[in-house]
Amino acid sequence: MALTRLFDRLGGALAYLWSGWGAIASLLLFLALWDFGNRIYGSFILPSPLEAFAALLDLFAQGRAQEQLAATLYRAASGFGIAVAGGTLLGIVAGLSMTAAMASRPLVTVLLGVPPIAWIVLALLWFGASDGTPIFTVAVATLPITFAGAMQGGRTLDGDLRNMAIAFRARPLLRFTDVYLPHILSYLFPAWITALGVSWKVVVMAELLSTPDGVGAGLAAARINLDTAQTLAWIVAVIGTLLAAEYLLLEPVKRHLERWRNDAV
Amino acid sequence: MSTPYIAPSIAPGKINRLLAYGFRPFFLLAAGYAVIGILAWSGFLLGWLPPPPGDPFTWHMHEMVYGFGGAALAGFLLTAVPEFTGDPPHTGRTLAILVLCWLLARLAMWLSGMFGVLPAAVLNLMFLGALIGLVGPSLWSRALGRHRAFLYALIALWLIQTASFYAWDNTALWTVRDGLNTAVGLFAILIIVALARISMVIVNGALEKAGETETSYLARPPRRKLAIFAIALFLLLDVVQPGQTLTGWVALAAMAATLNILNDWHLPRTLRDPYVLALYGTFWFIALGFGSIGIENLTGGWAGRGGRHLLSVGAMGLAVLAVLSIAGQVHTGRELAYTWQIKLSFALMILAGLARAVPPQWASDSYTMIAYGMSGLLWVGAFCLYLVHIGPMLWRPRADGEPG
Repeated sequence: MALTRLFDRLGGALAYLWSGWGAIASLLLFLALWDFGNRIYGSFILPSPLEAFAALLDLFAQGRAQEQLAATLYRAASGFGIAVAGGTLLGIVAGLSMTAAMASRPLVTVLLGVPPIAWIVLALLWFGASDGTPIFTVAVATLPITFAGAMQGGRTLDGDLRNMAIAFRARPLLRFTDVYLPHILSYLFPAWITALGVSWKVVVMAELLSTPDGVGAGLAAARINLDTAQTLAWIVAVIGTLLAAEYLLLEPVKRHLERWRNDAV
Repeated sequence: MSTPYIAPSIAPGKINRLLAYGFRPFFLLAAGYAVIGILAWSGFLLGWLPPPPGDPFTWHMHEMVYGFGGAALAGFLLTAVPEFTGDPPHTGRTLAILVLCWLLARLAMWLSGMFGVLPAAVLNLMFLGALIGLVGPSLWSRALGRHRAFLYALIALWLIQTASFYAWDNTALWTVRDGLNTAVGLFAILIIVALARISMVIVNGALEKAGETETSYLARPPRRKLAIFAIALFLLLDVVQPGQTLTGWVALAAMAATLNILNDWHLPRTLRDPYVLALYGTFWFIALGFGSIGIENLTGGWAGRGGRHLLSVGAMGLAVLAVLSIAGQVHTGRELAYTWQIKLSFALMILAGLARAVPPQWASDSYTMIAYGMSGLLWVGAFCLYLVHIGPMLWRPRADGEPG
């Protein structure tokens, strides 16, 4: 029994990985378009995909890529973690109270309205060229997103379902895990995925302007050397990491947590 | 799958019986020519037979794609289109004339050393043109134009054949071969379009047979259309930018998009069914073919002609053998049989496709020649099994006593 379940899981994982071929097909068509651009503008303006991949392999061979990606990953993950933990908690609390939700809405608008580049300047003044600058920038740029998602989830909780759970004498913990959480998660996950994308972009920008290491610093160095191939290599590395994080980590977790949607049908 | 049209009762006699439905003569001719065409070609390669007329390689490509492939295509379309649309099938005298046209086209190709390319060109273009004339109107107007993809591919196939003959007559051999390679790619598109329809019956039948009542198979159009788009784009670029990295990326995209179609196919306990496995394997051959062409373009030389042969020997061979086996039985009023001959013929064909794809640099010249010789032998064996096992059904009355 356990074995068939394991096989089902494995089969499900394989089916999920296999469904990636469609995405790979469109990515390859995009590479063809990129290659076409290289034909028109030449390798100095737009190096071909193969040249960019060769540059990336070179960066990995030198060990630079791993080093810088690790630094960037640490900063992005720290900022993202702060935003997810803080934004989600505050958002749910705000969502449970009509007054808090009403009062916090303009604050979300204000926070979202401040351009990330302005946060970077502030962070530079406060933290200098340390890890603090990118981490703070990422956290503050993504916090409103997770906060708004969590608040929406909290606000739209079905009161009838809650009453039903209470009528069935479900204990608070069970009520939270089986009634509230699945609902809130369906709002949280899209917000988290958006926040992940934003944090990954913001961290590179913050690094470019503030730190001596990280992918952003690598990009800055490539710019100074007029090395377009290396620039594209860093971009490929950033996008590759983001795609891997989203499709190999977040999306499977999301599917697992949202099984109930399919089961209900 | 029922035909509203009732065929008129057929006068007795083997010839009349054979002309009772399009698949009957053309499936026999396709399987027979598969054997003859490859025996003649292998005999030449091994030095046992004189070379085919004109440029031997071009002759081989044309005869396998338009001779063998053309007959299989005619048999399939003349049978499937009436079924898709409810229009009356073309039988009797019309069918006889089309068969004659195909035979004369083959004769003209075999004698092209004596009479030149022009008679062969005229007869070959007449055959495919007549086929388009016969099935085109139904494909265009019926079923809300849902089957027009066949028509577009057929017209492209005819135009490419015209261009190939024009280049041939002007002794631009490389362009002829490019044209014929494009034709193989067009067959890959035709196969994907045709298998979408055939697989609905075969895979769901296998699910039912395996007792899987909870799942059902659906050939999802968006996946198919993405693959067709990528292949068509590749074929276009392969003409204007042959061997370039740009074309290589699109070939890899065609591979990925073809593998993406297989998402529909991963269903419990269906791949044990030989018919499902053969159709499934066809998609793999298409994917591997475009994949190796892509890698070849990106790295500058890897699979040689192996990639093209994965599409022709592998995909075309396996798809034609499977469709001939399925339609040959179903349209003569039989249930699909699970005999060892059918399983063995599919297995031989898969091995033939793989053996022909061995890249030349994996082994010394003599060993790759042995692999290619084996491939030819396996191919001939598969179609001989078909001719012996299913061939007689094609000239005998339907098993259920129905007309057609």
